[in-house]
Amino acid sequence: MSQVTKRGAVEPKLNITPLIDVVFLLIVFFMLVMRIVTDELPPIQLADLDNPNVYPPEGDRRVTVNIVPEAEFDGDLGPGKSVGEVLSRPGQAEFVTIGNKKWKLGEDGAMEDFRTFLEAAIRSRMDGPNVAPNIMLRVDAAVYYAQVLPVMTNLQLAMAEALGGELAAATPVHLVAYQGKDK
Amino acid sequence: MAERPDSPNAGKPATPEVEVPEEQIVHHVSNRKKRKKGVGGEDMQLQMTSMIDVVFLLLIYFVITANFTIDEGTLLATMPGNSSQDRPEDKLDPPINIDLTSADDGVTYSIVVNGQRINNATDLAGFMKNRVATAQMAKDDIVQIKPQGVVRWQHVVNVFNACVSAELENVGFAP
Repeated sequence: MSQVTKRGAVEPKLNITPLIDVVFLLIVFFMLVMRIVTDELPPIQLADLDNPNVYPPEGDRRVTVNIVPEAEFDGDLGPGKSVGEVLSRPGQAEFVTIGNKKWKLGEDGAMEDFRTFLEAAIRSRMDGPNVAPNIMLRVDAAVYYAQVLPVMTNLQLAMAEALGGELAAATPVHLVAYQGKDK
Repeated sequence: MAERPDSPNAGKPATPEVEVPEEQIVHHVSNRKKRKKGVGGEDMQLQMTSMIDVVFLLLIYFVITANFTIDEGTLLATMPGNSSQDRPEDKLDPPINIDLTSADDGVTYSIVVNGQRINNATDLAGFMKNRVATAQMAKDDIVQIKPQGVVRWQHVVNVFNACVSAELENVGFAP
């Protein structure tokens, strides 16, 4: 804002307030975007259970492993679809992902890379030396079990490496499914 | 009140004109419109701009941190190869196997528990509850789900959920 002095000259001044407003806005924006990128969840159609016995996990520290199918579900994602409709697609999985990092299933060295990355991710999300993060497994309902099994085995190996045998044995993995209408 | 046109004073001013110096005229000043003066003599005003900035900021924050995963919940499971699933020495009973096989259409599947065929996941939960109630098995007996490779994840989790619903405590996946 400028000011007219007695002599009539204009003295320019920098108004800091809106500048700080905008800078804070940008800081918050980038912080949130970073968080979204690390927690990125691919859109997949999860398992829809009969009488679901599932609950939202407690705690914010999470490592989420996703298994994405080759053929995405054609329609709005969510519970209440018929099993026939959900499973009408082929069950080949294409990628396993953690955040924005993805590995193509069946590629040489993909599982080894995945395990190394997962170990580091689990270590970085630990809440103290003996507190494991929530490890989530989000798999599309149509995927064949044969493609989930190696991911689960590597998940257990990575947990054993990152957490140590005892803590890894005591740490369950969260299988993600729809809660259903009644919960 | 308006003056009637037939009154004797019609056309004359109501009060005699008196010359009042300009500086003696007192204008009414409304207190409501009067702005308070700050310490430095500046006008005090509510800064709407910064308030709206902050409100939008909070709005964006809450919109973004709102639950992304509505409708999603989790089941706690032990992975294949977890040493807690190893059979202790004192547990001589073999683990209870739940075999899952897929039908040709890839949509339907069948459940077989130690050789006995079960119709669906809801029946499996009832079957397991009944076995625990009749002391044919204990809640902490090792139960292993053994799906064929072509069984869909939907069915595997559904069967796992049925075992959890039957309050079984040691359910896992066969390596």
